Amino acid sequence: MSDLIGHPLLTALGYALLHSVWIFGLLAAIAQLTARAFTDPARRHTVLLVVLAALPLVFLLLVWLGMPAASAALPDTSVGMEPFTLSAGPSAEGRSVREGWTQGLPMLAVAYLCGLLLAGGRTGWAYHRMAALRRGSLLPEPGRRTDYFSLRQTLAPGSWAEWRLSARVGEVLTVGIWRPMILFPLALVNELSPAEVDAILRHELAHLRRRDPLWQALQQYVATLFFYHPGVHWLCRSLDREREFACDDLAAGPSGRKTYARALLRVATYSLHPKIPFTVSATERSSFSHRVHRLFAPAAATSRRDGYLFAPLLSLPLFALLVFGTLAPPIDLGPDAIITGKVVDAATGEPLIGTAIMVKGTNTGTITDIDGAFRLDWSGEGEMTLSVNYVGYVSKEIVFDNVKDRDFTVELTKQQKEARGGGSGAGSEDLLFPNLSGDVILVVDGKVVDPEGLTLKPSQIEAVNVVKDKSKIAELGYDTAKEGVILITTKQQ
Amino acid sequence: MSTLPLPSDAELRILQALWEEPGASVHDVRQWMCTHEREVSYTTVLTQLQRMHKKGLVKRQREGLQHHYRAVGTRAEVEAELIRRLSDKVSDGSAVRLALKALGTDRPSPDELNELQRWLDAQKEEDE
Repeated sequence: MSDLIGHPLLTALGYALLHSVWIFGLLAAIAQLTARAFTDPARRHTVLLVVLAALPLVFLLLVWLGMPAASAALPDTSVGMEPFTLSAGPSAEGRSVREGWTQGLPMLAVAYLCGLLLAGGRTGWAYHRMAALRRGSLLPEPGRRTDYFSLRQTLAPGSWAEWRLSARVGEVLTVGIWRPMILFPLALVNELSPAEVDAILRHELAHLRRRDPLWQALQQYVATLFFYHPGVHWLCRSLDREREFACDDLAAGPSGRKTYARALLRVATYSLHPKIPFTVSATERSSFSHRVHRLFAPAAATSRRDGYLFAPLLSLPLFALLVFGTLAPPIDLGPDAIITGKVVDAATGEPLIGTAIMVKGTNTGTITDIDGAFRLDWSGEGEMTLSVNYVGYVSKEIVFDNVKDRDFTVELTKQQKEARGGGSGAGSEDLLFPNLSGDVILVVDGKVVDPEGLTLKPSQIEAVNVVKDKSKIAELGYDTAKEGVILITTKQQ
Repeated sequence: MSTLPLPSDAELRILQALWEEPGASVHDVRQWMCTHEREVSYTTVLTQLQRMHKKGLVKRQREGLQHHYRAVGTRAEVEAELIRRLSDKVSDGSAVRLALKALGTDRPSPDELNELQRWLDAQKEEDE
């Protein structure tokens, strides 16, 4: 055992580990600074990747330098001069310090190997799980498949990657290194419009064109090897970001920025649907926001490049905010106004549950709760009109000429019942049948009529009869293939 | 179709073939699988189809000496069932990078997404 601990290779490994801390840190910093001089994310990615790929080689060099045999073989190395004794003289005190270090190094190496085993196991497990994702996936429908093949042909000609749908994934993924496969969540495909699916596919195909699966595997390999080094993780995070930026640039152009950004957002909203616990506080912005905002930024603004050169990484989101703040409408930091209130019956004062409150001309709105209370967050300027609607009550519109927080009570009055059988608020308006499907025959006074273009005043109608029974329909002499017949009798003047 | 049994991965592959070629024979299914999925032997497909028939995933009709198979559930029904039952989705913010995620490694919060949506809506429709 003591032989093993005393093995020169372990000492050398310990030496390399110790020195990798500052050397890798320095290399990472240099890579980051160099990368920032480029405006093109693809270039930045390349710079970072080259440095990352060089790290294992540097580490090997350090191990070699740490080998006592190697240092002894160097011609100008004085006797007993271990490489890690930088300035220690031949004094007894210095030697004892050195001895202490020498004994500590193998232990450090052993600790590292244990850590490496854990980190490797973690990566292996993740790989196993990803490989399992390839099974049990569905091919998209034939029409979509053809579209995908032609898209792949244009965007990533050398690639044989398949596009599959899977119920096992929660987000859009490209798995596999040598034979990548694009996986879409099964439920998502039907929720996105074809243009949005196209935009996301373009993004994934951009990854394949850039051979990102391979680079990512390399990145993961280095990250596993140097799991202990924060500088390496820093490089990896930057690489992740630049890779997505580069693919965004490739994909957003042909799809249209807005469609593309919308598609990204829909995927994000779908993927992060309620089940995942959120630990990020609401005010904290992830770089995902930065990614979406970035799509709308003017290309290569010089001020931004300078900013990249000098701003520390942490201030990036803040800086993006500043840049976009001057170019685009400010990002809302929350609602401008909170409108709260209560809706009650004017006569009885009872709360009206489920009253729809809408901001006119928008899709913003809310409904009242069990106490008739509502809350509406409103962001906007100038005049706004709230419309309050409840079935069987006269609708109300409330106009505000400016936006501020308000709290008020709305009283709704019951609609006066019109003549016999009335009660629709339509009054004298024409009755239309816009939603009548083609499966129903409409008959007015014994004549089959086309529902479109037919106008009838409610007051003209004497009776409405609906026949759904097939035998009855046949008896009346109408087409039995239809779902039913609506017989309308008008009042005879 | 609430009693539709959940197909296994291999069964799902056969179902796909039957959705695209309803009334296919074992030979047709095998052909489809070889072109679109992977090489399989005739007997594998036959055994699989017989098992699926027992499970109630496919129905068959005899025509002369051949059996013609049809899927019991439509694609939409089986998809819905899969989505409903497979809840153990792989969606973690794990630092291990083996799959390229369209979303990147970030997990934006719902509030952030809402905010982005509003911001996006405010952007002008240019270059489209």
